[in-house]
Amino acid sequence: MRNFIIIILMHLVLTSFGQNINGKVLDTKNKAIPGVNVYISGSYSGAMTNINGIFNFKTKKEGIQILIITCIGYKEKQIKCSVKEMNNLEIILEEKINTLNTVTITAGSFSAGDKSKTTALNSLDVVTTAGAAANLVVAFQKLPGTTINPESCKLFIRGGNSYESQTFIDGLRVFKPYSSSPNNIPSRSRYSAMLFKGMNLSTGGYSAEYGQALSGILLLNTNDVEEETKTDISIMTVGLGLGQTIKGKNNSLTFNSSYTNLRPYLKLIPSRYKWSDPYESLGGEAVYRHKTKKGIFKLYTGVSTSSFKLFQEDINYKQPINYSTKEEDIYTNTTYKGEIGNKLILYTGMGFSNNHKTSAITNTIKQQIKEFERNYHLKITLKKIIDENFKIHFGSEYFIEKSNQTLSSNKYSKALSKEIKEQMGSIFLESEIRFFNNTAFRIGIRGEQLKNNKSYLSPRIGLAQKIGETNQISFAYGTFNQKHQKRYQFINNKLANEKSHQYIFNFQHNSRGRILRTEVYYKRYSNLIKYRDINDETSYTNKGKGYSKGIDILWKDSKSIRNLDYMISYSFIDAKRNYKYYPYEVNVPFTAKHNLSISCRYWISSLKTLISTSYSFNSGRPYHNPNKKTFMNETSNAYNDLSLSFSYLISQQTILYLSINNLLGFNNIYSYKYANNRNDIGIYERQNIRPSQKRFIMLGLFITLSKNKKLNQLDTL
Amino acid sequence: MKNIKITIILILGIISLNAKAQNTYQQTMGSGMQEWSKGNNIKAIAIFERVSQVEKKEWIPPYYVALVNIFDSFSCKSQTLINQKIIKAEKYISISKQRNANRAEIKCAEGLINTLKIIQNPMENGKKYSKSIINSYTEALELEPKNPRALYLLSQFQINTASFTGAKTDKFYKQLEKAIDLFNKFKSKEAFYPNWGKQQAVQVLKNRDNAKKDK
Repeated sequence: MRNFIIIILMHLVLTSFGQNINGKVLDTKNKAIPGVNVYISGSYSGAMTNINGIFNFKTKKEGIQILIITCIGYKEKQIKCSVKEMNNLEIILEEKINTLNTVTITAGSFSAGDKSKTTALNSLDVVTTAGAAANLVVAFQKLPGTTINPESCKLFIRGGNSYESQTFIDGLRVFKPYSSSPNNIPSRSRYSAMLFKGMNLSTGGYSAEYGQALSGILLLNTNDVEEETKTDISIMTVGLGLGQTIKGKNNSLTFNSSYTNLRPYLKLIPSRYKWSDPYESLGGEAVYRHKTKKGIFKLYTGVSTSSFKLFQEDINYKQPINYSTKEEDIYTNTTYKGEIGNKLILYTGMGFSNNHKTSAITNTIKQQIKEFERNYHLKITLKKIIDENFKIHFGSEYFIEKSNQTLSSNKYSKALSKEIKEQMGSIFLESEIRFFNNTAFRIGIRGEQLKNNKSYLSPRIGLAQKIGETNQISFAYGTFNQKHQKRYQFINNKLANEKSHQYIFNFQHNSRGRILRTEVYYKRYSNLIKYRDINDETSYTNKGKGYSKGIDILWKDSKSIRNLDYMISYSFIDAKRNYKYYPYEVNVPFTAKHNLSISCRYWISSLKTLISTSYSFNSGRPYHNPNKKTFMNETSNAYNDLSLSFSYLISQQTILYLSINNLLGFNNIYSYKYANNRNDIGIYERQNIRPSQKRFIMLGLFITLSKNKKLNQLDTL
Repeated sequence: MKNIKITIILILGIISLNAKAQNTYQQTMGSGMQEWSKGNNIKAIAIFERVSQVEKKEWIPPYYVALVNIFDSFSCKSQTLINQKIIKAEKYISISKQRNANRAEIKCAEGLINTLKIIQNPMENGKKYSKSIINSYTEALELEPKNPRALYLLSQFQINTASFTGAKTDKFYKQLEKAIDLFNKFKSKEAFYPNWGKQQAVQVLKNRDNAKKDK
């Protein structure tokens, strides 16, 4: 009985007495942190710090124990020592780097989609931008730093030509991002915005991972997962579309097919040109994704064929020229990305592209050009995350490119055939370091070796500093190089790469729902091609040079007015060059000095309608008038466009879409084409380069069929 | 005889210790629930966190660490803090999952986490998460057709999206009434089993009625 009492007593003693543990928790600035959870690992003994950062509790534990100190927003700390020593502790907690709050290098880049920090456009914006008609490039033309060249509709970045920008899907280069179109009629991007979760446009200063682009890169990343099995049907005035998504447990498959035929549309609304075979195209895309335990495998394939035949007037000929074009394009890539070791991420990928194009003139000069391109891109990279403040990324790439061109014409008895083969290997190494919570530093280098034994080294640097909670400044410098344009490679393939040096300074203010972004840049071009006679191989040199400088401003606000989301972008570009056949340095013909774009989206809940408008303006582009003695000394009229689109939600599964380009009917003349020879009175005559139709109207019906009827078409709006 | 005595004493001792451990779990969880009901969310989270690392087989303590963090975020104003809370909630949901948590309740919590993300950035995340939120709740209902929380959360989410798009909300309110019915019939399976949501569901109905009166 005595023993029993002893045990009970012991028990009471043990519970009521014990070692006292106490102390204070401070941050790195010596300020008390309240609400910190302090406890002995594996036991109930613990307490929370009070307003003065003080904690105090008792424990029955003895000997060496682990004290855990944890608080949201701070790095967890553990102290291993004897319980007796856990007295009057002074514990300092370090602030945790929050991925959403960290400083990132934003100079030069806009991201659309995933990353919350630098998002200027999301995939929704891309699809609903008025006038874009789901052409993702048009949406990116609303961003500062770009100049709209409506007759081609490609990306012209900061005084650079369109070939100076490259497009990548899941990290692999797309060799032919635009589908072919007649002269002076805009081409379209081959890829549909809905397949991509993240779209990132960089107008300069980008990472050493990417090369062969003097001006900018557009990165498109396919969706990792699909949420459900569904069928998408679209019926438009210009064609039909059908999509199917099948979702499995760890994998999913998406098909998208589209058929475009402009015949019915051109019957209703006549065009400036006479089309004997209106534009017709059939295309399909498929994405297969498979999630493994630690990674994701993706296979992307896009196939398209297109053809058209039309008569276009030409100042040099009395009768309109009959052009015909047929194109077949296949692009496929496969990638795997996954963790292979402790915080070591492997990425491998292979891309393949095959393109056949035949363009012919069947009257007047009678000629036919057959073009063929086949390209491979192999890539492997490794990323080691040493800790959240230090990352190293390196990798290697290999390109194999082959193109040939055959010209047959009644001018020559034999067909002329030319071929170029290129192989290029590259390596890059880049590391990113963060100091404290507010400074980030990135340094990288890229080396490239070409088949002609020329090699290039391009350093890239980025720096960012946060100022307070919502502002940051960043700076980027880099050198970039690129092989000259293919059409000149056919004549002379021995030249050195063209080069650009870029300096970018960026200020960004980013508060919830509002972004202000200002960027000042200077870009110097060197090694540009220069020739006396375009057809004379020996007259080609690398002596061309130029520069472009300017300022970009972007303001985006989705907060001030309920249901209204608007964006204003302005850029001033001063770009001059002396290259190709130019006699001296002049403003380039593909860049306007002042560029402005305003786009708004407004959701009217009572009408179940999303109204989207956009206005674009530029101050006109330079052109050369051969009747004048000076070179490239005239500027075309200002360009204006107001587009409007409505998306009406008929039911949760159906959307009716109407879009009108150039609503107000501005008479835009993009530029002029001058005759090759003087007329009878000694003047070079000219013709206007104008849109083929004043306005473009598109009406479409989009239907989603899914098992889960509760799903909402609103997501695609 | 003495040996028997000692054995009995030892057995009694062990039982009492065991009962005490059981008691400590019950008591500590109880005090955590009490702090939560008083609105001392941070204190409640600290308590559930401590229990969670002692009772390594129980799914309920980490579930509450996540849940209180989620509820706390709905009333939180600092975007940075909300993001940190979301990360913490996700971490504890995955701990709870590893301990064979009730999958329907976990799905509900996951749906709530994604709802938080939408509130954070509606233009961006609305598109990204609304499908997966609906999926979470419908999957929870497939697992447990009578789970009142799943039905309430689904109805509430549908009411919100429908009123945003201008669609009719009547059938979702009917569904919500059914959820309240399920709440009344709901019997807790074990101590501290999730049993929240009824008040909130009733509030949603009240809000509608008040809005009607205003008209």
